Amino acid sequence: MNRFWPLLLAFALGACASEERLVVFCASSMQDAASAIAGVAGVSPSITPGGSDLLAFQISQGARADVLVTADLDAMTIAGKAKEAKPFATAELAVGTKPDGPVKVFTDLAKPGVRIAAASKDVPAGRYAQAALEKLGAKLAGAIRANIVTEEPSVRSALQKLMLGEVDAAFVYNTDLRATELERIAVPPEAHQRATYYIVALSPEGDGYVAAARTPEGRKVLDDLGFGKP
Amino acid sequence: VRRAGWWAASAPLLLFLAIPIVALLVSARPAEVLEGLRANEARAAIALSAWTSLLSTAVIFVLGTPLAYVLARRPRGFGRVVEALVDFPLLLPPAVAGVALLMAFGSAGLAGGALEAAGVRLPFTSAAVILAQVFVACPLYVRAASIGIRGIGPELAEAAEIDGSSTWDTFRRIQFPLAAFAIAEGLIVSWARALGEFGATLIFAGNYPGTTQTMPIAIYLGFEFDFAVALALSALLLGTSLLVLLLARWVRPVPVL
Repeated sequence: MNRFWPLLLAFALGACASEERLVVFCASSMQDAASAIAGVAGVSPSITPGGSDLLAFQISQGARADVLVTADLDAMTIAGKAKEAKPFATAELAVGTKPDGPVKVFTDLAKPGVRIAAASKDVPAGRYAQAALEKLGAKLAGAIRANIVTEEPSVRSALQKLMLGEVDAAFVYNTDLRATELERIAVPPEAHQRATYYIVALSPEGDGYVAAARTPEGRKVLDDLGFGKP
Repeated sequence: VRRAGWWAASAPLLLFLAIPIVALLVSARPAEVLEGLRANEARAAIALSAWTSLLSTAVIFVLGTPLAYVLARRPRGFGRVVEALVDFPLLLPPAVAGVALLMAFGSAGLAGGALEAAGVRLPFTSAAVILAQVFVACPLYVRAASIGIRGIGPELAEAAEIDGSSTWDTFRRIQFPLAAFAIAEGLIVSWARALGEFGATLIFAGNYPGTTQTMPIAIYLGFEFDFAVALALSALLLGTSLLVLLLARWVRPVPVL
């Protein structure tokens, strides 16, 4: 028994030591970019992807993270970081569809029986989708709204429902569709929405990562993944 | 006197359990809770949670009772496998249950094609909410009911059968009434579990106000845009769970679980 306690202590200390990895909370649509930027920064962080608002709320409640990346400024406001956060990338709201699905053009979204997934209004992707619908005629927008069968907790889970074939179309970002077999349908110009990603360091350790995202190398990584300049 | 030491050693865990409950109740002011519960999204979520969880419990009662009866006869061999299968959802993370349900009954799922041919699409419907609830909550009922029936002992049933009673009549007139408390406890506990179901529902049924957005999902997705509503719903769920636990204890002072 007496041998047990030092062992336990050693274990606990070991666990604490390994806790020093950089922690990056990032909008789910940015998760691939977040690990690519880590490569530029020369760190191997623990990346937590999720809906921007949920991550921001966790930060506001004291969750420990070194970097926060959100898909709009509202989420940064929730985290209390709207002033410090810097825009560093953009993406376009798009409609993803299955190549053999019933949705070929944007107006097909309004057809009866079409099933659409969107992100919840409580995350940026859902807010952009709602903003896009508000720009369309009331009749078209109403018919599309009536076809939204689920409001997912993040844009990636909306994408997942499309990849699984549970829905015919999903409101996502153009960047989400790059590495998939899915087709992209552009949102009509009058309803076009550009998402702006914000980044902020929450600790001195996070500064290097944030700086890396804004270097030419970081910019190239973002370009390669389809993200635009702010 | 010696008990005092045990109590002292139990105190940390007791406090750990009690503090969050107290904190939630303290932070929820009655006026704000009532105000929060009046919000449209909250009312839709409460109504949906109420009727789906009650219907799930009814389904569990009808379909789970025969299974509880079978398992009450100290299963051997194959029966043990069945028993383990029934307990399985208790150990399964609810999110995994949701993925499994999607793989089974989703459009691309094992049974999805057959269902779609029959014109049935489950994901994103209230029916999917009920399936998820039944999946995660039925083990609690089947366990409680089968232990209750087993507790009666085989002698009464055997005597009745010698006298020519069918197993159905024996069950209806002897075993069911004698196990009624255990069955009631099982129903109450599985209802509470169905009411709290979250992970499997979110993945299998999605989230849409009025159709699939139950109280736990409304709390998860709504907590930062309207914290008052989330807090109100949390307080309501917590209060309900506490009442249900007390009710279960009152129904059956010596719980089987």
